Amino acid sequence: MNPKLKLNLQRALIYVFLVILLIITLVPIWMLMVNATRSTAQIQQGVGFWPSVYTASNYQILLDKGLDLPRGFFNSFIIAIATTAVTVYFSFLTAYGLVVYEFKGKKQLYNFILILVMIPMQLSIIGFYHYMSKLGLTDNYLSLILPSIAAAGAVYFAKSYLESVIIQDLIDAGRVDGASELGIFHNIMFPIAAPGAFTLGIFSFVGAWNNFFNAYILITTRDKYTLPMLVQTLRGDVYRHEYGAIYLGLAASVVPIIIIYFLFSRFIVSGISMGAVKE
Amino acid sequence: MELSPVAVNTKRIDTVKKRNRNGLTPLEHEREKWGYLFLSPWLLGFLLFTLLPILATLVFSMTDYSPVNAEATTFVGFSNFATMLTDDKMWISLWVTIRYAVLAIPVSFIFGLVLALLVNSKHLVGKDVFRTLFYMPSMIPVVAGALVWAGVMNTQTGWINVTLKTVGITGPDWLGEVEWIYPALVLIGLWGLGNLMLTLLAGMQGVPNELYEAAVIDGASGWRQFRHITLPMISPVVFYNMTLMLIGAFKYFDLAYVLKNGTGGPSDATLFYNLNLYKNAFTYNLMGYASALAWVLFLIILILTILLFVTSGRWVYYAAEVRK
Repeated sequence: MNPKLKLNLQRALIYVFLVILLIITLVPIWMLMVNATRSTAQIQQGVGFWPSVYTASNYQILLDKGLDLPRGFFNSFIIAIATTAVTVYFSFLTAYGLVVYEFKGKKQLYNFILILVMIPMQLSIIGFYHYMSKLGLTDNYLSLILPSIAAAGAVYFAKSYLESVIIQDLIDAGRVDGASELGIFHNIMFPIAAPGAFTLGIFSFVGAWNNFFNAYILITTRDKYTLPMLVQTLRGDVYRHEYGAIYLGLAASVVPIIIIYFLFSRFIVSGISMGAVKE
Repeated sequence: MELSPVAVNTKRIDTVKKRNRNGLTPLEHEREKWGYLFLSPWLLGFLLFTLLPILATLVFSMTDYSPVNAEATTFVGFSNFATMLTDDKMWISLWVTIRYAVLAIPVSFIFGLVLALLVNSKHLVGKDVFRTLFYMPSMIPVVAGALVWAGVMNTQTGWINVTLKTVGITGPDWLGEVEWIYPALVLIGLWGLGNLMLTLLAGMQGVPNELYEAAVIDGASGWRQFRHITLPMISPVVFYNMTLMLIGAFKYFDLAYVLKNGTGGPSDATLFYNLNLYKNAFTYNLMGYASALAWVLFLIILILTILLFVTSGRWVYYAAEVRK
């Protein structure tokens, strides 16, 4: 066979294979969105690939069953935004301390933080739950948000990033100008590290938005449920035959994430790649 | 007036003289103080939200603590750990976790590797598009993904079985039969292997092109290039992912919990270690026993990680180390 033909054939095969895989990957997401607009009867009749007109009635069914999607959306949003702010600020603060200053035990502390990444949250969750209930912080978002002050993986990311962008001369110039150390961090280094902070922020946001286990353990009042917690209740008996409504609930938790993903996929993809290659 | 170099020198000698008892100049001492100040929020957070809870879990693991009857808590020594040895559920959960890991890790790994290789192939146009779209499901909340797949795998209306029916095959009850639940979970897991794919891809793109060029000159086939260049060069990323996947199996919870309503069914086939831990702690309120389970979980993960690290010297190749 002539080599050019062989190459083209090879390429065509790869495309066909990838496109089939892509369809299998994306069909569940597409079906989820489509089914959110279809009535339960339509869904039960069979597989359909095009949107229908029952979104409003599905929403009404959810409301009638007492499932307040906007409320869940709002709760998830508050938690995710606050967690993101805390994670990004304190991780960069910690990483800055590790990169810029020399002090005893610095190396050990950094290694310790790396080891901490490996420690499963299960090891602390029971003790954590106990403390939070003693402090009256169960069923309070603070118990979900505050632990991010001492994130481990985020510090690792922030430190790698800072090392690649930090400019010692700028810090020294700031000192000569009489800026305080904290002022230098806030006004000089943080703006320089903004792209990294932004990437970390997206990861924190998505992580907090998707977090189910901790919220499920700590939050008990239905009004305070996050979206994944509400979605989880859709599985219950109350919704047994309301497929359209179930899919609408699912779509509500998925669509914001997909929008964020398409807006910022460049940051996300490069952030993951960076973590892997740094090693 | 011109500043004489001599004056500058004396000044420097002055500062050197003023070293304190740690042998630091005042400036260095000041900087050290700032270092600790920058780290103090993290340290405080770690103390409050990680260290104290972990120690509490350790203490609980030696008691029969239950939040519904906290006053009656007594110290029971290591009897929780002894109970574990005869607790059928604990052995089942360990076995379930191992069975899943043994199936899921190789399958996901091979699948992720093939996907990364394909997306990385030389003449592919639109790499970024494929990369972006294949990663997308990893962003979706596991809880939502679980319910979506429960629909896809529905015996009657799910499109997998509907498709199978058109070619005359009666599809299985994916989530209801013991022999199909693991393949089903692995399949759903494949949906979210975007992280694996992206990290492997990043590793592949980091392999210097000269290596391949040299191999082509030497007449190495595609397979031999993969086996002797790509695979060794990406072995650190492989190692990183192996560790993550192993730990992940022991932390497995959301999917099993949502798909099977936390029952662990069919016949305990989805009673993962972490689900068993959760049920002991928060359903049966046996927090003392659950704390012991948590510590054993930690020890298992620790041992596995150490084993991986010890063997990694044999198969993980760090290019940078050799260059030194």
